[in-house]
Amino acid sequence: MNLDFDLYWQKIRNGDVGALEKVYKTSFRPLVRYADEITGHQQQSEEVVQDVLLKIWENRLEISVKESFKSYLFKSVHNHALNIVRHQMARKETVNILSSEEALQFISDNYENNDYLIEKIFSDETGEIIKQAIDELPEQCRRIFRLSRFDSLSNEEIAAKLGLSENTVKTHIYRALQKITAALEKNI
Amino acid sequence: MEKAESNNVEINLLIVSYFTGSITEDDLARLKQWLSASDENRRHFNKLRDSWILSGVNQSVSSIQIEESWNKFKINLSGIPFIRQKDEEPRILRYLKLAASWLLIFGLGSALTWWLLVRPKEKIPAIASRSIEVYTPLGARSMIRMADNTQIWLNAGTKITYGEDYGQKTRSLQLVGEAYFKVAKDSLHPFIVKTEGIEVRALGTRFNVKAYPEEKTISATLEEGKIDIRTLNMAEKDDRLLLNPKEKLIYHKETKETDKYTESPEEKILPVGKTIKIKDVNILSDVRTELYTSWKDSRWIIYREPLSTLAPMLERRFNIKIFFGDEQLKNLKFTGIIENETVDQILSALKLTAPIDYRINKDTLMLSIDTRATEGFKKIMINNN
Repeated sequence: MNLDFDLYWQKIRNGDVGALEKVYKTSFRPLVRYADEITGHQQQSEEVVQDVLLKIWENRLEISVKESFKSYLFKSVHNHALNIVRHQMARKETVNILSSEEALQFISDNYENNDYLIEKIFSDETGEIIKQAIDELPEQCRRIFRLSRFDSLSNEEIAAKLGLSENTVKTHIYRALQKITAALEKNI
Repeated sequence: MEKAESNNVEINLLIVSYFTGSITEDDLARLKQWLSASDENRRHFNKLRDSWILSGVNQSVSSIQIEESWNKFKINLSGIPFIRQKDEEPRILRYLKLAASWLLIFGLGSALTWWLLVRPKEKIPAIASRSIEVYTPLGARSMIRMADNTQIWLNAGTKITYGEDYGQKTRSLQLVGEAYFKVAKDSLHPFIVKTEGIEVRALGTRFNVKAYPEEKTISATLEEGKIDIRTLNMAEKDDRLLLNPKEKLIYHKETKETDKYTESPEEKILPVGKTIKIKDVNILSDVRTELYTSWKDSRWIIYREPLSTLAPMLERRFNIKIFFGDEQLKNLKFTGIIENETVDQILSALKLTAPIDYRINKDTLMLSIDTRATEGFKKIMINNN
């Protein structure tokens, strides 16, 4: 059962800690992983999400959620994570995939206002659909995609490990993404 | 899509480079350029990006221990009132505390606002099983702030009842008496005030509703925004009257026929644009809203109010009973601003403007015509009639 986030937001507004707990437990993992895409650092991502949830709780009477609560949560995490990375970049503390302001700007431009993504992130079924799609990939493709996505190996590392060219590695990853996209679209 | 694909093998590899964090500045610039070239390109990119993100975000393996994480997190919440679903009774107490912390009392010095909690009430079926009641006794006024930040000023002798589910689907409450609402904007959850004769619905606005059981009319005055109103006698379920700012709707509880109704004199002298008549309803446009809402402020404005309607207001405000020694007095009209005056001070002031005499005995006030003064006030008495 997918959580009715807007209903739970109303409960949170009424001071219901039980509702906050439910939202926390349902959305913490996906939000942290999403923040991870930006910060590239799990512990930092957990802090980002906790900061956001704490702020929401403390300011629950002042906050006006204009779109859905899901979008609000997602965008808050997105923005907070970006700010943290910006901050670190200014102090040259970070080395991650977004090592330039250019790349940061790119992520800001392209990741907001994406209702499809937000719906899928918070949906209980998404994980299962993706897992199944990956399981159904040809062996080599599946292996490469897992090394890239879950073990965070670079294309170069994967290429060296498997004795392939980097372009072959990228091509496999691209094919995996196509299959996953098709699986997600089938399940709308 | 197939076509775009084959034509863009190179771009697809760039996209993958971007996802995997190995894209160079130059390639990122190329990717950006390609994206801005067409919507189709952007869609293609977005699909792959969503899949990339989701495959990482929604993976089933996880190193995050959610129970542990929550237990650590909730320590940060201390100092904030806890309301939990399970423990029923303490929850109510917490509600009380929470509500009480928001309750501001103003008005007469020792006046108190009482909070009562009641078990399921048969009388109000519209409200969920457990309901919360806020009551301001005679002689006092109060202001409460709801969880959604809506502020409600309660006039003397006013009761508001709402369910625990306030804010879940709608923000609905029952009003007996008079209240001024400053409704927090929330288009998803309509704010509904139910009275014995009308139902007022708003999304985010400021308005006053007066619905004392002892009075013959119920009125709603809109200061800002929009409200719509449904009266009990409307035939169609979806019928609603839309009120614009500075309009006042009067619903006649008893006459049920507009023809029998004559507008009260004080409304005639207002710069009224029009009076629309719909069944038992009058709508006045362009009213001076402060005349109907200033009771909640430190300066209560009274403008050409006949004693017949002023008396009940004074009764509630000061918790007194007013008796008329002469019916003629009821037609006298008064204008003034009441700030912190006592009943005695107000009457002394009234005495200067009309041939009125009064006696106060404990909580009762007897008004009579001051025969010695009538001569001097003859003109006024005639004009007033």
